Amino acid sequence: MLMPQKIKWRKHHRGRRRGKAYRGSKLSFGTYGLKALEPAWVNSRQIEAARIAISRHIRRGGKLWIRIFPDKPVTIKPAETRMGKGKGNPEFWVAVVKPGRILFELEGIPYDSAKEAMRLASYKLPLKTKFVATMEGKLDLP
Amino acid sequence: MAEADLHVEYREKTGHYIAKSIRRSGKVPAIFYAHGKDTVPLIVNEKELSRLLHSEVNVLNVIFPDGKKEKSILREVQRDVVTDKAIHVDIMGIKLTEKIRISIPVVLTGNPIGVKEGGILEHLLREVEVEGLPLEIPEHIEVDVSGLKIGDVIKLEDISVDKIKFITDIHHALANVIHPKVLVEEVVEEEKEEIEAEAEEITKEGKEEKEEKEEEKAEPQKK
Repeated sequence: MLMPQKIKWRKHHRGRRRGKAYRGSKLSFGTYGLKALEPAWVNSRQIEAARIAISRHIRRGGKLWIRIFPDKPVTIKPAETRMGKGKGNPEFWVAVVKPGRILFELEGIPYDSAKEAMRLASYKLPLKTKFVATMEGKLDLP
Repeated sequence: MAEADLHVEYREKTGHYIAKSIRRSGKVPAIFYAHGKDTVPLIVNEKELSRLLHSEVNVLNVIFPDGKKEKSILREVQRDVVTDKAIHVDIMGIKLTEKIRISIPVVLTGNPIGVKEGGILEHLLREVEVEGLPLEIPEHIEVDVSGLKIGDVIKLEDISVDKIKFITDIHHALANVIHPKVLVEEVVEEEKEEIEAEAEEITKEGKEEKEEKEEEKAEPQKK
């Protein structure tokens, strides 16, 4: 699963997810993509589940890019613990996603197959998404 | 390059509140600028603009409310990142005798030999910046990739064009055919087996713990 190799600070603030994603909002590598329509924290397990769903659907052929990376640690306090005594322990990693962000990109497969792969991936993610394609992708050119 | 007409209105007030109200009324704020001329804030009809954006027209005849016509190009179209609607347009006035620099799309044609053998065609450069006279610049550059085998690369320097000059680095790769990554099912099955084995261990441990607890409960009752 995706996680940073080295970190400067073990625990992060929660932060806010206001506004839209202006960076990473265009298709940069592939012909097809999956775009986020609402803000969310996507954890490394969800990214991995979506990746597996896509790669199992496309089987051989096609190339996949993951455009998000879970670089934010989320802490949780143990159950039945009194408040105070410091922040909880880091439990998992999340990627902060804002509306407009491209989550995955695909290339080298037909339009219908890419759309179906992205549909299967979207069920593994905690946010609303839409399928996007370049002009070539819409015309189903090679 | 094909030509088309675009009717515009003058925008007297500027600012983001005004721009938002313009967008609510089904229009798009725009700006007109040209070499040696003042900039003019404009309003464009959204439907007319989207029709233009979906066509392969590059040179526009911008028709102002006073009947004045200006040859122009769409320099930049800003879009909403979620809805993909145009939110602002830059219209640049041009002279047909003056060279301009513009980005045009690269279109790949043909089915490569490498793809038939199981490879993946990767489109690396989708737009190219070119310089030339407005009417001599093509709508797009067509690149025939039918001869590409697995591992072959086609570069911008391999493309011959007349009357225009590439501004983008000509050593840049346009497309290549790469080996596919094959998903090995055995690995997946091994993973499944491991997960199942782990799950069995956990359930066994759980059962043992339950039995121990039951025994502990039973013991004090005996006492």
